[in-house]
Amino acid sequence: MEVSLSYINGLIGVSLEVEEVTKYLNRMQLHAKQCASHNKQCNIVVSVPSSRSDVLHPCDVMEDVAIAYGFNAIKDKVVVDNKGSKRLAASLTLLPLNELSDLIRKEVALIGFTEVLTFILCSKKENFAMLNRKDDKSKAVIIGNRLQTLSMHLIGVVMHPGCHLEINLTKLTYHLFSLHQTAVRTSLMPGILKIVAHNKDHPKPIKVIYGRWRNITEIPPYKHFIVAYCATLAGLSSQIAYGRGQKTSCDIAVLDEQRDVGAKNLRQLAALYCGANAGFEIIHGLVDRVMEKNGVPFVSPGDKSGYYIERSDFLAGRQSRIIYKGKHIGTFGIVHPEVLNNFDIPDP
Amino acid sequence: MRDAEDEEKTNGVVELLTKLLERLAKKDLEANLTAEAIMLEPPLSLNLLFLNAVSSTVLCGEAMAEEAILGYLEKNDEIKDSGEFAAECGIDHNEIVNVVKSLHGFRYVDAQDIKRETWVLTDEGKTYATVGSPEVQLFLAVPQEGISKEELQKKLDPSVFKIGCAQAAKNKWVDMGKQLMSRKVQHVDDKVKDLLLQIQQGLNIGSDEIKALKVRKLIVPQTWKGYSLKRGPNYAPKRKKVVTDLTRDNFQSGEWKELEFKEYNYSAKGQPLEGGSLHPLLKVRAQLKQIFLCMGFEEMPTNNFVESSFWNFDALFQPQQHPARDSHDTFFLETPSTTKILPEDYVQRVRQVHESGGYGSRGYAYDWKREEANKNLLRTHTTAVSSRMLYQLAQKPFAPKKYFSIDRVFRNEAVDRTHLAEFHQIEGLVCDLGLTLCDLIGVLHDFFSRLGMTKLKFKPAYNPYTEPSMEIFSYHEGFKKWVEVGNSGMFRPEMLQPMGLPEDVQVIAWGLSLERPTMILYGIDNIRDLFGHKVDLGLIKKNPICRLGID
Repeated sequence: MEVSLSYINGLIGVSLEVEEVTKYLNRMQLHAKQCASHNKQCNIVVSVPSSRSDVLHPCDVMEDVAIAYGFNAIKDKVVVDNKGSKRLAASLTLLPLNELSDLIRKEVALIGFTEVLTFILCSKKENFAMLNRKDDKSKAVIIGNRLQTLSMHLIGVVMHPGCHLEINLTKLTYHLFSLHQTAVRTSLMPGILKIVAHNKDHPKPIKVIYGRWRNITEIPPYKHFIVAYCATLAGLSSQIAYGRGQKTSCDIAVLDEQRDVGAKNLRQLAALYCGANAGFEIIHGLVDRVMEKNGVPFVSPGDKSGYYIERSDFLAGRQSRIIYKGKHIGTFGIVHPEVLNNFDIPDP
Repeated sequence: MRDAEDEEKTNGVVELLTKLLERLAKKDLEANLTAEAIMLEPPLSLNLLFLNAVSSTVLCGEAMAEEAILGYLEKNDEIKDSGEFAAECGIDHNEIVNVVKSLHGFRYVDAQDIKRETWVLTDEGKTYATVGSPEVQLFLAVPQEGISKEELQKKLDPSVFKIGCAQAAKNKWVDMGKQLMSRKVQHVDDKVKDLLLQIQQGLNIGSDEIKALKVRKLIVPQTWKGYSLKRGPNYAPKRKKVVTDLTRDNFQSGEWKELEFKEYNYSAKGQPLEGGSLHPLLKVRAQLKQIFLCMGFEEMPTNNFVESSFWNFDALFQPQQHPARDSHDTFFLETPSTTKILPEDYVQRVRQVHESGGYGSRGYAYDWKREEANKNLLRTHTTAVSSRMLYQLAQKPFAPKKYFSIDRVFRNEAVDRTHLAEFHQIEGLVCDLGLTLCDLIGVLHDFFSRLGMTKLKFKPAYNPYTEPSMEIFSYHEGFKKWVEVGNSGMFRPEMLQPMGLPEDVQVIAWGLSLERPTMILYGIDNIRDLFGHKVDLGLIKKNPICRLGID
């Protein structure tokens, strides 16, 4: 059988001389020698013994050369280090944070929360005062261009299939112009609470049974579940509020002195339960679920191998902190009644 | 005495009933309902009202105690002795104690324990305090002239006789003669009775005397517990209501501002939420699909479990006498048993290359049988789909392609902890001009590094339709050894060129199972715990997300 040197080198992806090839083939007990060069092409004559019935095609000879050369010795630095061949399409990668967010979104939806999508822009008042927070001027990104803000707002109007969201554009526009400043949210809470405020006319069943003694059946809770995502460099962190509100699946923006533009996005998760009772234990169950799905165990306070819950002195112990591997990554609790009033939610 | 007490209770009940009726009268509807109820079933209604009245009495008692304590502390620094305080206010001390415990628990007051040990009479002691000690009874039963034991025994209670003899002899009050018992003294004092009466009145007596009485089990110690009270950190003149939750009612009424909330128990978990979970194997599959897409591969349609032997074996240049085509390894079908349609010109070229070669090959030199190629089977690998895709690709002007598939395949294998008769196979292939073995190795490094396998090495292997063929090994840091993770190679020219692909087109491909990396990832050591009807649903529920491809 005659095999050309270019065929062997071309398929293996190396550059071997005739002498090397014949040496390798002889090592594999295929007797090989260079053919007389009466033409310019370099050929190798191989004598195949009868015991090698598997040699049918020149590619079988090529394989023996490759085996003798060593599969693990075949390394094209460009191919291996660049994770792809020059002749192949570029190798692509998705962003890990977005991938993780999508996985968690699915897990939260599997336990009955409905996802919503709300605005990134909000008023400065909504970001701080209405949430009973102080603006320490170190977190919010402020937009100074009123006209541009209006445009962005209009572009951002989105009807989400899962939400019965109605926006009075005229009222919205008027409301916008009356604001002194508009900020990019540093928390998912304003958007999530506004969803509840705008869904407050959702019908509620009420049953009253009159008999010898008056008896009012307990009103079923008005359940409207929503989830958004959040994450920081320290890993997953959650900001889950119990009480009223909706969930947003989006980033928030905070000031960061170490960035070239002075700000960065944080990915967060926010969820809300809305019913006649606060439902702290349901949101707590959601926290446990999200942690379990990230393979994080529930541990005793002080243990850094997992997560635990500790008390925060807000609304008489109704808020809690999530400590994950010694770091505070999230909080959950009952929305303060004053905040509910601020967002015009009279009937939680 | 009794009449006065009864009258007092009756007046109290009447007063409470009057108040209740007055309250009800303010609400017309409820008042009407109440009146109707009374007329319809007077006994039941009256009983209920009475029970409410009784319950109110109890609540009033404790409420009074609480009010008294908090009110007193508003103007005074402390209550030194809860016992004395109870006496002054005319409230039962037990109620005071109950209220103090509650107030202390909620930090309204700081309570310090006060303990006083006192002695109380046993039943035996009470008897002797009333009728006198047994020794005195015995002494009084003995006349001046003496009395026989038998007669004396009849006079007295057996226990009195027994104890009395012992104690009287000890005191040397009587002479125990052979025939008679006679007095040795004329008069005795009943000191035991006197002591018992003193204790009953709360007077102090000597420790020696206490010991003597204690030995005779006439007295036992009793500890009286009380408190001294001061204002606590949460002190308020009136107790705030403590609720477990913020509710719509107390939110709307604004009452929440006055409420105090019970503490949460943070060492417990939250309420488990009902919902579903995704299967771990399919979560891994989704991540692998994402990895292929990121590498520019498109998915092949694998929705055909039933396959023809032609596409499964013959098109891949696998000889018809190959052991894999034995019934011990392949599930052949009874219905439908044969393939109906095949591309005939292609079949002829496949036949020729098997029998006598071509395209630079000398073939297998055997008689190829059409009936063998027409047999239907459950596909043994997803490369059957690859052969179909490559054939279709060859019918068009050539264009480079990257394909992948992840789906189920079937093999007639004995089931054990690492093998099933059906499992998921992962396959990737690249079809392009001038591909080399080096390209294959490069793609494998890229692919496996996304699965977290950064150390790879390759070993020669034999496959009938790839040449060269390589087994892929990865070093497992946990196992501390090299683990086979897949198989790979370049498709033979005898497979590609009969399809009509150009001579300089090469196809590199690799495959691995889905189950094995999933088991390694999640630490599952029995494949039946992962796949099949014996899977633990709890495992699926608790299983974390798969982060393959996510750093």
